[in-house]
Amino acid sequence: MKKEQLAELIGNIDDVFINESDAREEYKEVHVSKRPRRLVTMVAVIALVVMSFAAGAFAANKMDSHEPYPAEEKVVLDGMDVTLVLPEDWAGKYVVEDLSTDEFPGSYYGFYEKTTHDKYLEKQANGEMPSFEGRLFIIAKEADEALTPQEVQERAFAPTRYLFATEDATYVLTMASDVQVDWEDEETVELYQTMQSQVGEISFILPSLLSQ
Amino acid sequence: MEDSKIIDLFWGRDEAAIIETSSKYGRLCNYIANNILANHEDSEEVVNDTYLTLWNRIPSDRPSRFSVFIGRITRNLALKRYEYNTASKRNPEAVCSIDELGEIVSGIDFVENEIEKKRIEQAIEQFLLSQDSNKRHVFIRRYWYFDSISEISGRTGFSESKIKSMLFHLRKGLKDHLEKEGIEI
Repeated sequence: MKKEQLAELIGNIDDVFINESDAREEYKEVHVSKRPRRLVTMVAVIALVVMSFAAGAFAANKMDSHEPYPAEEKVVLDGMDVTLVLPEDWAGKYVVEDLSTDEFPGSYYGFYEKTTHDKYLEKQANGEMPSFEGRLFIIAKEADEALTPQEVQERAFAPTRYLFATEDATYVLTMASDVQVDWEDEETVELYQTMQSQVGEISFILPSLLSQ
Repeated sequence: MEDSKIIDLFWGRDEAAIIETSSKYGRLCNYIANNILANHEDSEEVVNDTYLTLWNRIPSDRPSRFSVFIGRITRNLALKRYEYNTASKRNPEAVCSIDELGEIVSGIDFVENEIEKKRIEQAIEQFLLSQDSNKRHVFIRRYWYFDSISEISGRTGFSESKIKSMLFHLRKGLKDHLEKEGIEI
């Protein structure tokens, strides 16, 4: 065999291997910042949060306690509690995974459509490499510095919403950038697409940054 | 625009599909083409050919992951152009990657047939599955995307010497695996 022929055959290996490699790249894009740190006052950060949320579809409330909503999830970002109030009909239809690693502790969560993700985990447990993860979005630390919403948009590799920033970190919601559901399964595709279209309805109960 | 919507545009034979694809994936296609070809004009032609191929293939072939589908088309078209081009129009890094693959094979022209090709692809997949995810990642970046060693080092955080060593063992392992599977390489 000629080396060019082997190169071509490698090009035809299953998508899952490329997906796996790309996923690592996306993870790195989300987490690694090479930009210099900037000093931004906490007041300015809060102002940016308010501006961002007023302009976008997110409703940010600062509350310390409340009655549980039908579908809500709490994630802990670098020790700060953030509650996501999800559309009511999401109850039982999604799962959350803490994807944090030792390298990036407490700063990376995946939200998935449950049916697809359950199948994904089952196949993985059987030693297969499934294609569809069912990921709807991730909540993650975008940078180890305070970025403005505009800066977040400039560096986004997929549709991304600015959540909030502290003096030394910025947190975002990033949508899945590709098809994450089996197209053959029409019922699940419809559910997945509905849930994707509702991501903009999620509101957030943010940490009380001023008291941190 | 979401991939599913771009694909819908292709299915609807809407020419906006090309514009949206170019806007979202033009950079990826250019990156892959440039990694293989050193020539800007050639890369541009390959990327344009990618869009044409997409236009012709999508109606009968709905991809599960659009970026990989596009990347694969660009890669294959660029490799064809690479074979056709003279050495001066090849990216030295791609030459290097492909030369490395030469360590695995005999260099004798392989008479291609679809069944045997599929068998070899599956054997490559089995081999990759037996490796840890770091090694798979390095292999894909080097031999699928044709990244340079320094590029992979920047992406993974591994030193260049570690990557060279990983690639050496991966090539050796792949060669052994293919031979064990009775594949004439």
